Amino acid sequence: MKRVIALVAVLALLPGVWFADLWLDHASADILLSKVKTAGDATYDPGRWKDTTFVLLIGSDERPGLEGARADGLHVVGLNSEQGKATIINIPRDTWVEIPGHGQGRVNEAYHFGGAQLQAETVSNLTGAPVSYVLTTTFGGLTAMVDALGGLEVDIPYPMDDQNSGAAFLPGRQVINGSQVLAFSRNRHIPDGDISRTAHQGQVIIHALESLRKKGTSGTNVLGYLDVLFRNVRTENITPTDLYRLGRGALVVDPGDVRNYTVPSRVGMIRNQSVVFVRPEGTAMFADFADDGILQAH
Amino acid sequence: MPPRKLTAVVVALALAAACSGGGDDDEAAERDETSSTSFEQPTVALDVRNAELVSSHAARGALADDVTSEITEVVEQLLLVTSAEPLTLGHAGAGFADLFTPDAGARAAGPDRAAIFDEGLPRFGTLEPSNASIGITALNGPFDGTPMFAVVDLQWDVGGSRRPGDRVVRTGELSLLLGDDGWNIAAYDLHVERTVGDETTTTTATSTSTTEVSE
Repeated sequence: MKRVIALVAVLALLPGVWFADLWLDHASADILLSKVKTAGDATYDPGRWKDTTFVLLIGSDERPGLEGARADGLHVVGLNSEQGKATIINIPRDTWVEIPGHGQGRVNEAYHFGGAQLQAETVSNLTGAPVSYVLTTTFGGLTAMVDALGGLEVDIPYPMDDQNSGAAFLPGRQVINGSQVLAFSRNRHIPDGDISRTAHQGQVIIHALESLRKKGTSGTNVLGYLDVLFRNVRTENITPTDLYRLGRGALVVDPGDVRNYTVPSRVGMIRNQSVVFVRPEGTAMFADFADDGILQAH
Repeated sequence: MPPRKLTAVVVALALAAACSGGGDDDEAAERDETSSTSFEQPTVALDVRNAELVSSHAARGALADDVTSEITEVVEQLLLVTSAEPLTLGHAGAGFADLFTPDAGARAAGPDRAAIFDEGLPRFGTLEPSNASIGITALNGPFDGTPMFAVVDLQWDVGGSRRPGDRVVRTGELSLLLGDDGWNIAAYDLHVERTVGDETTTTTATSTSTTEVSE
């Protein structure tokens, strides 16, 4: 299980057919990796992004007893295999956007309306980055992922004591387990609230990459991870070789070459709802990101 | 089915009449370089340490013997034309391009040639490998359990009868794809150490970059 989680986490960090899911009965419902139709297909030019893959990572709040699951965390990751660099764009979940076919709303409502496909389209429209893969994990999936890695060393920026999320930490670098990582990632009672929270989630992804690279990055390693993945993660529309390429592509990236950037935003109100608006400078940032998956000027 | 096991690592390479007379190794090597001695065509046979199939359709298991043999033959042929023949005959063998996909072949014969070919070294004489083995992990394709992709973990550590202090140690991975004409090398990640006399040269090559360092 540890190895599968390792691969899933790699895929989550970065970035078909439809092979019969003979192992689906064994796969966890907590983690789903799917290939989606690239948003804006009419104008999509694969040659323009031949060295770049965009993966959307969704932390879903789906859990027993909760109706209408939403994306609790949204991160679009650009992986540039030619340059061996990656950028994580953290999108506050309350960001006010256009949701295709549903008018305006919070960005995370797209998941409720149309699952991973519509969430990918919404994020692609917002950023201009054509998302090809979506990894969705529930709280339980994230917890299991981190525990399988033996915990993560995370740099806690300031004291936390939040009963809602369960985050209770002293500041500084420390190894924390899956439940603690979930609490740290969900705590929004901190300076800048949801905006800081999404940045923390991006930092967790980078820490996960550090851990995974220590476990082995060879092609043989990746195939070993796939072996377990096939029985523990649901996949949709992804071929085995797609998975292999994603895993290899992710593992070549040095964590030091991963930018973690949160969409420049400001908090506002729409119809008595607290929402987040993208600041004007976000337009240039998205363009910088979408052209090759890397932020150069930000 | 169990992977093919060869009882010994064999690089059968005969040097006809090369050992007549004494003298030190340098002198012998010198004669080899200039004499008209005919050399027997070398062959390469690899020990297969393991051969497994990872599949989305079934539990991990042994790779079929016929697939194991096909992949092994590609790697043996690669080592023959890029290492065994240069080290014994003094020149690279033929058929190199047929072993690769077009893109990988162009790169291997071009920018990465220094890592792929053991050229420009003194002739080693009969090759004496201490390790010539591979491990194969294959992956099934999208439609069924048929292997379509494989990663080969390579260990190639050879010296020679004529130059006992010299060695070529090649380690790394080859990625192979099943095409219409069989298995082809589509990518590589190789590390090569060549020791000749007191000098060791380290060369690494991946599908995207090559670096060379002399020590």
